[in-house]
Amino acid sequence: MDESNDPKELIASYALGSLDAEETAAVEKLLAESHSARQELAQYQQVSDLLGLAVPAVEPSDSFEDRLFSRLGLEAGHEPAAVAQPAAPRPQQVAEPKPSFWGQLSDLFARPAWQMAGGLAMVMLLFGSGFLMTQNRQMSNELAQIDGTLPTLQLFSSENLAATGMIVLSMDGINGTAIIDRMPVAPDGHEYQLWLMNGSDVEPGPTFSLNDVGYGARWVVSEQPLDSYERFAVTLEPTGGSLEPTTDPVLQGAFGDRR
Amino acid sequence: MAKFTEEQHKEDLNLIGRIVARDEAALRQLVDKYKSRLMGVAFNVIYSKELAEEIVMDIFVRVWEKGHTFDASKGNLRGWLIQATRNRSIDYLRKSGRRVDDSAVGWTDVHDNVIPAVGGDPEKATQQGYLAQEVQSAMSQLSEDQQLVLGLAYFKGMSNSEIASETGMPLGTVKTRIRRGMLKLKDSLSTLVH
Repeated sequence: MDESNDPKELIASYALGSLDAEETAAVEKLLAESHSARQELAQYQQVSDLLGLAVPAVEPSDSFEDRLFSRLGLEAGHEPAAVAQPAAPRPQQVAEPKPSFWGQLSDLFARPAWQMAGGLAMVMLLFGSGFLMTQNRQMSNELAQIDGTLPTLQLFSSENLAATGMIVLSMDGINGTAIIDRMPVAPDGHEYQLWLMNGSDVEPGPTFSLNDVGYGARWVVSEQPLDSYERFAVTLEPTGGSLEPTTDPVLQGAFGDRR
Repeated sequence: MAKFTEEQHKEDLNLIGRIVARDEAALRQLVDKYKSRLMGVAFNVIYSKELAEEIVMDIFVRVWEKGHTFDASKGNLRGWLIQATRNRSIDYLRKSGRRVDDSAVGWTDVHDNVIPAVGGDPEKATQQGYLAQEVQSAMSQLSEDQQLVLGLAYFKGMSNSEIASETGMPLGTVKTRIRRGMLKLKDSLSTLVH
């Protein structure tokens, strides 16, 4: 065989897409059979990706971004504060919280001595589930590394509503985006807010502005890496958000939760 | 440089994750970061700034609407964007029947020292510029004939036999020059290619 027609010698041309149909079929047959050929192709594809950097950069016209964002139906030339800004919930005059999910959670960590045994059992349960959640989180992150997707956490409705939610973490687990969907319309003067939880500690997250189908997304900026929190919840709060939750969760979830 | 490209990869993964979650600010950052690079690729295929803008705009629209189809296990976001821009530009070139100018390959002279704007961040702009310079430097080490055949294959989407016909080189010579050129680039860019 002429060296130039040997499929092994055509892998670089295959990466550039410059082979005819017969040569392409020959190289693909080789790739199906040879691990080293696939490795070589992966390297040539990286070279091909880099070739785009070997030509001069060209600045588009001044109107480029305005036209692009107009075409997408997004407001041109403005930062979308509703999405891009980290959460900064303001203190609100709110009604006295009723005994609730949150109260029960807090009570677990402030019981009198005669309830210590029960509390200890709950703490052990929480630590146990925390361990499992850590395992699940690690597994989730490892799977994400394998299949290339970002780690995600599902939020489920506690009242069998159609509402649902998701938190998409960055690959390093530090940042993320919270998405809620099909949420009921919030009453006037109220909006939904995300909460980040570790044990009895509850940290306020961003509030959501929803569109007419109950969809909203917010970038989550937290004090600790986002994947260090055990659980997340969404509640209905007075507009502007609260420092502590005032209603029971409408959505909640933890790493590894499944329905 | 490897550390820088790894940081860039992480930053890009964060951006695409936010874009999938409909974060407009992330899309704006991505556009700011890559628009001039993608314009460079499209322009070197079709030699029209107006058409290049339309193609690059299509790419960013696709990112906004179909960003979830990006598969990080198959490569980085920069490569995905560049290949998508290249493929769409070549498709346009073929469908339009525009004449290929084989004298205009467009590889940057390493001494041009082109540093693209990257979101107004001078440090990132400088690092991106160094990355581009490293690729351009590797390209400058190839012979003119190797640069020519790689340019026709990469930017004009020509097959090896079309390159042979266009340049008058024997087909076997075209294949050999592409293979040796790519091999030399792979070796020169070993810190960036794994």
